[in-house]
Amino acid sequence: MALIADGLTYTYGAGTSFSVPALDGVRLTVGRGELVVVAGTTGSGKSTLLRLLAGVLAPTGGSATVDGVPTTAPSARGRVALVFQNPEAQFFAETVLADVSFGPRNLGAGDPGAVAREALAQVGLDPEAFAPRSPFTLSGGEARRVAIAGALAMRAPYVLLDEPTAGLDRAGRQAVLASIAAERERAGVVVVTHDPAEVLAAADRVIALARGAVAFAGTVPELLAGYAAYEGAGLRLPDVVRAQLLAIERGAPVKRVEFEPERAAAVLADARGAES
Amino acid sequence: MRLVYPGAGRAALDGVSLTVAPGQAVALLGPNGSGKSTLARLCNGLLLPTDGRVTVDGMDTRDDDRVWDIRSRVGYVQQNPENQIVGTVVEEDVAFGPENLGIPPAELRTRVDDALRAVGLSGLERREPHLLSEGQKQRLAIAGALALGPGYLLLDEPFAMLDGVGRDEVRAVLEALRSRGVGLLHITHHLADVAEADRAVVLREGRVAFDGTPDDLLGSPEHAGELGIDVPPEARLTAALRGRGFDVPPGALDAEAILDALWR
Amino acid sequence: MPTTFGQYVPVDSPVHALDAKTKMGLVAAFAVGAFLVDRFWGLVLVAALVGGGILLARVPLRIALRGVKALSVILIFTLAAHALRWNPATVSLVRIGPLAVDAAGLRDGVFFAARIVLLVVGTSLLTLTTTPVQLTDGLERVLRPLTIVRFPAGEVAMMLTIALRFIPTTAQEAERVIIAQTARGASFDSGGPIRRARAFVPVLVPLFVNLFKRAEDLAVAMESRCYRGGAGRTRLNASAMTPRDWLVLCCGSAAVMAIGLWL
Repeated sequence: MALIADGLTYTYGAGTSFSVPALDGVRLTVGRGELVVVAGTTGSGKSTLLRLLAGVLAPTGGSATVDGVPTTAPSARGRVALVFQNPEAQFFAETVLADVSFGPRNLGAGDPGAVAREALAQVGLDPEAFAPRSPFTLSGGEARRVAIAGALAMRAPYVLLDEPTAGLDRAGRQAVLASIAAERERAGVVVVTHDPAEVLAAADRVIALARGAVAFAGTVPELLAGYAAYEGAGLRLPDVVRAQLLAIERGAPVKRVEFEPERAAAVLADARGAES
Repeated sequence: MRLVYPGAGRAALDGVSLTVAPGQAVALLGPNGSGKSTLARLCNGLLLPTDGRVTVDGMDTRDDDRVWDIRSRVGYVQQNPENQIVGTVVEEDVAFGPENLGIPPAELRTRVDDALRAVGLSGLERREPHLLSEGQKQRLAIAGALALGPGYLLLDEPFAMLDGVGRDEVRAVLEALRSRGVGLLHITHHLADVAEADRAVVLREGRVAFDGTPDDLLGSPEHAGELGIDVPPEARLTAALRGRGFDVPPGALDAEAILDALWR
Repeated sequence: MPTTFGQYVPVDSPVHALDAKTKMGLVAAFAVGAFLVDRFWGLVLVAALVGGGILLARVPLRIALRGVKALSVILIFTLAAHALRWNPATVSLVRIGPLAVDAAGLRDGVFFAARIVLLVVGTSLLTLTTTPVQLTDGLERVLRPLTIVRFPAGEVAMMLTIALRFIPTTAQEAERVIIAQTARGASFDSGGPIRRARAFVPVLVPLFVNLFKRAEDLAVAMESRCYRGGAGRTRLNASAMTPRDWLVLCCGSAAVMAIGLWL
């Protein structure tokens, strides 16, 4: 039971003179309750991977399956939810409740309104206060969370999010990260981003894409043990983390690597103190 | 460029004073809704102050006769480059501003070529804008402002739509313009975007809540956080190290600089 | 990936090199000339001109004839209207029940149908060899005399330019919104026509909302870059008619008009 990409390949305009390979032999497994981070710069193939996993695009090679069914099969409908970059640009209904319940209604959920309210609560918005509001009058952070609730309301076993925190201020980002953590209790979550600094610490596995191929795949400890391939993909670990890794490389007695700045300071201070 | 704007009552801005000198980079920070964009639009006369005055090289934005002089002195670059590109090919978009001023075609050509060179887009003159990368689009938007020959640029969250590569491209262009004497007013809510600015002004609910250097803000991340702006986690790391008695400067934001200071 | 949309065929040819205004003038003269032709010989000459134009423009014949397919209904109707007679007294060719095909009528039908085909193929050479930008610029110049009667030629041309600029952007955005709503379980290809039209509400509403936001930003950007209407604007690529353009325009127009008037 997992969302699996096996040798996933996609070529735009396959068979024509202007064919462009976008994705080449990508492997990926997401189990329920797992958080997988896919990192890559613009043009690395992230968006194509997302569309293939969501089943809105069919692979030209390899396979993408959800719980054993190809993601493009009719029976896969509703099993993978997709949150696009800037999802608030897809609001269309007069009220937040109508917009959030669009997905469950399409899928024939028993009580779309109840599911929608539940999803709103999950992203930290009071359902009573927000349900009757117009989605077009929300603040940036609120709008993003309502849009994410629209995807979570599908109650899909797997959720894909493209740059979920882009363009938000700190409070907005923290609220979105909390919603993602809550969703992971229930579903398998894939976060695709060019700047994974804030989701990295919580990830079960990290995959770095470069020019359509997997440049690095592994757990976070594996990433910290050898991040050259990751940086080769044009990505950069957070400098808080890099400072500790660099200290290790310079021979300092760093005992563990921390993501949180204040704890990282303690680690570095201890290493510096032990040395002198 | 001088801005004095003592508004009254429940104004979007209230009693803001700000000066940007040629070659100076001023960071304008503040949470969403703090009045940053209103301030930018006051600076090139898109909005007029209800009280106080805005002057650009001595010209008052309320002076109807100078409005086109002011707009060609103060370039405005918005957050989403896609929405500010007018032309159907790169060179025609860059030419749009000077065309409006009635510049003769021969000089238009030099202005377009110079502006494209300044942002590193030479060779893409005939490219259609929708085929450019996001970083290239934002540089095109900057070139469109440069072709008017501005002394100042207003940058309204120019990095918001860009990834790391695009950011680095645009940052390099802005740095080169500053060294050529262009004054920059860079609007953002993220302190990491403007760590190298000469001055940082934080707006909060339409008022100036802080006026100092970016280092002052980076040095006390707690205070900066209270002002509603985003502080890079590296600043919190160095602040915590200073708290433990190590002499790590607030401006050290990358791993190398932090370690060098720590093991000095 | 194709870099231009619409009909334009991006090759170098003497026809592509002509100024848009020259081609507009030629097309106008050609349309009048071809309409005036009323003999088969005239039509043959017109066909020769169109064929020569296609060859010179280096446009593949398949693409040049693409427009004809859309006309098939009109062509069949034209043929039928001229050739078929209902219960005629004399039958010159074939009779099917009360319907009969008349020889003279058939000749007329073929003549008119051929003239329509030649008109469409000939005029489409303009859009096949001229970019939308060149067309808008040419149009502005051709319309400029109308500014005397307060026709906003510059503004109309600017509107067309902006429309052209935002077609690809809007298409990309429409694709994104459709995919996003599909991912939320929306389906666009089931049910009757009303149901299908309603299914597009979740696509059209965000598309328009975003277009209005873009329009707002664009207005600010244009004003910031000193746009104040068409008056006093200069153009970077102001196209100018060369002596060669004038020669082609005069000789070409004279030739088609002569064919039209005498044949």
